[in-house]
Amino acid sequence: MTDRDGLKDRVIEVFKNGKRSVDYMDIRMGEGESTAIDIRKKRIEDVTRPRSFGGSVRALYKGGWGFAAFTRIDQLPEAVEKAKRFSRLIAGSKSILAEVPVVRDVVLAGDGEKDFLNKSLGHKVNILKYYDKMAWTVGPEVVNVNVSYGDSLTWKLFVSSEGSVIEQEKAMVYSLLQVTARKSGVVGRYHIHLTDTNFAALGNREEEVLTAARVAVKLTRAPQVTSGSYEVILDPLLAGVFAHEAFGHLSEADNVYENPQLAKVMRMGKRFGSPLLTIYDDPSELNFRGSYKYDDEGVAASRVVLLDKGVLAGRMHARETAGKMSEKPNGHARAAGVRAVPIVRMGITRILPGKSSFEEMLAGIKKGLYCINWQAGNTDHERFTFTAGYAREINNGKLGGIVRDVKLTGNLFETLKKVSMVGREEIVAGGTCGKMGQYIPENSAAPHIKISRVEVIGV
Amino acid sequence: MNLLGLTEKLLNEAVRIAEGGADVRGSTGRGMEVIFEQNKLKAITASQSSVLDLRVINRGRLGAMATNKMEEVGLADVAKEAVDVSRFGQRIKFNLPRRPAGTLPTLKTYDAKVAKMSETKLVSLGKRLIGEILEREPAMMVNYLGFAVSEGESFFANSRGVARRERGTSNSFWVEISKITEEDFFQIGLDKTSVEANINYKEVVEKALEMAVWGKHVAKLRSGRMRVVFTPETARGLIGYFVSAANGKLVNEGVSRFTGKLGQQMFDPRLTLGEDPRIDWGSSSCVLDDEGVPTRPKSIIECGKVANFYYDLNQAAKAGRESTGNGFREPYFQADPGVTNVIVTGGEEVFQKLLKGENECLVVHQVLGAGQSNPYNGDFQLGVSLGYLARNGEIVGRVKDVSIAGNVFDLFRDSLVWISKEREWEGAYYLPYICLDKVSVTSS
Repeated sequence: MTDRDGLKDRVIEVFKNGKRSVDYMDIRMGEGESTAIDIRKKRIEDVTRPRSFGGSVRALYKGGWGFAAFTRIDQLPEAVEKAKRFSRLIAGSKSILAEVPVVRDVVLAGDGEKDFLNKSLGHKVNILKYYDKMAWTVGPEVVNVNVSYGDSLTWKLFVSSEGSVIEQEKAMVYSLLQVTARKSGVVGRYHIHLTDTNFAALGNREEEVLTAARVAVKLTRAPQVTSGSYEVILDPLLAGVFAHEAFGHLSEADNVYENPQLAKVMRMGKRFGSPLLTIYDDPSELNFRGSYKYDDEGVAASRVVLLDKGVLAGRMHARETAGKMSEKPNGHARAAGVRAVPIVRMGITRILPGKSSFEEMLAGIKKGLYCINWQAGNTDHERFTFTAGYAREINNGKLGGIVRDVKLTGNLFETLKKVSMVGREEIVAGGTCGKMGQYIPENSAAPHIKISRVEVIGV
Repeated sequence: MNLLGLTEKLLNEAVRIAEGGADVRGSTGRGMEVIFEQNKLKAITASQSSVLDLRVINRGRLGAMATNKMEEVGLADVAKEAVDVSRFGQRIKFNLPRRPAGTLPTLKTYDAKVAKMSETKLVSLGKRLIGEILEREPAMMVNYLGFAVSEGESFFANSRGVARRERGTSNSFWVEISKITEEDFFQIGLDKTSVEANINYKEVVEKALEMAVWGKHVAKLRSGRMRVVFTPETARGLIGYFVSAANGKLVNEGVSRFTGKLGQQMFDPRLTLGEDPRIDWGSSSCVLDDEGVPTRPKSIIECGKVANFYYDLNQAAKAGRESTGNGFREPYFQADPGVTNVIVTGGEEVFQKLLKGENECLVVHQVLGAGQSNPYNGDFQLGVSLGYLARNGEIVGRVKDVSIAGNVFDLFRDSLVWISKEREWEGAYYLPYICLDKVSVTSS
């Protein structure tokens, strides 16, 4: 790694030199080293250890934001000038940023988080190959197994004109196993995370790998789900995605703060969902993919209750959105890397566990679906769609056979009100969320939830 | 050291230690965005990127490394690391390509006018466009309106004498207008991308305004099977299934529907689509692919027959064939089979006339959930986030809470109604309006 103190001094120097010609400025800079391994068809398709370096300058003047990214430290002065010039070009109103404490801190990744650092490339490859081989054993229907692995250690620096100087290290490991099976023209796919926390979590996953491969094979024989309205139970993985897609994105203040139409819909204290439903976001719990101590505006991450027993209670903020809405900042401005603009994002989004057992949820469902695992999800703020890994039919309170291609959709305002039971035990899962072209690591956590009516699009 | 120098230097370092050769792709880009949010100018941003992607072949295995530290110091280290990781890399059967005989053509991929666009000009253009929208539709908000311009340069060089410099520009414009109430989120989003400076901004805005007028009335729709028109914007997703099924990697893996079907009549004879990498001003046009192999036009579906698969060096070797010039790599990633400009052949009649001939159909402009379906089977299940009901060519109104589903491969075999004569560029896809019958429509 490069001389971090040297880089830090050069950045701090920028703020000492010259007259302040803007209302606010911050500079972020960082570097990273990572390893990526990709196994397909029993072969290593890709193995690489990319390195990256870069930074950006953000300037605010009379309400206008200027931003300039750079990839070499000698381009810093030019980027500073550019960001300032851009902000002055927009200037037209007033700069409003919520007040936050000046922070000087150094946050290092914990040993448990960066446990991949002392593992050799050969060791990493061998573990992945071991699971890959295992997945092929379940039957001749398996046509492909894809095991991908990535780890990274990044260091980033944040310095602001208000005097904050923050260094943060972040270590992440992510590994995904996807099995594709094919029989008589029908393709079944199923995936699981081998780890989304640290390297140690890669151990002892044999049962899950075999189960995942068996599901892929079963899906080639499973019928497609029939379109219609169903009473459903979402497993914790899918319920987490539901919280993220159906409610999390709508609670990002950047959609609301200058849009009076949406602000009217999203007013605090309004009943939004079932009284059983409490959703919050808290990135400050460390050691998860979506955790961080300070966001990319140097604001300490904190817990924000979005939905409190079904009533709208808060939203995620950047400094500007909080300032303009006269609400408390909570450290949710995140950027996909130091060369991207921070925007309002989720960190770790959770549904607070409730009181129901899985058996209680099953009982009383005449005809329904138990939806398991997720493939993807989207929202346009009014409707959502998300795809389950697969589902099992529920008939008169009993679990039945599996069905494939289960895509759930609905009006999210109506659906949130239809949550009829919330399970006891939550599972935390890691993922990646895309917004405005920026992809960032996040988590969602939820127990099982039951929804009295959801539309399922089948064929 | 400049990009060319760094690319050559890294190649030399790699060739010294990798016995089977090497290739390097160095690229840099710079861009600017002018962003309006909620009717107002919000931000101006400048971006910059640079990366050196290296591949080495050592003892029959492939190793890769990437760095964006654009400094001479450390390049020897990057080369060493690539050779080091190649110990675990895949065993390969291909050779790097030689320098092609003769001179390569030069395509028009760079518009100096895009590179020279100034932020002040875009700022005033944006303000003018927002003024026009709000004057015509005062109840709507311009959520987003933005311009992005960028230019990029890349050098490719390998150990067998291939060396090539490419330059390109990109120009895009997007606008999203909305009217939000407790019961209804009415959102219209449109965008346009071009290599050239000549985007017709006014036309995009007019189209959005026209859709705003159409959308004031909400039309009721009954669930069932019906004719659905996909505009070029949404046709892209459907055509993507065919492009993906012809990918040599998926064919090799046996998950493509086209595996073993080369030359077979699988679809309606009116369906013809292919790839043309060598058109001037095409947004993905290039003379060599990212592995240094010359590109060439090819059909994918010809009159309903599966005509060609496309390969990079690696997948071609696995299939016992030659690369088709379709090896493309994203920065930091390995090469994979990919396509450039995708062209769908147009039909005989213009869209408006065809639409007039339809008693009743659903015209789908925007969908939710694309990319979530199982592309291998050809199934799609989509939420219609913006769609209109049309009767005899007249728009009756906007539909709400509607989903559509079907199987792309089955629909293009049995239920293709028509393909329009006119086509539009959607990114690198040149697409007509497509009408399919018996699409499953669910209205809740």
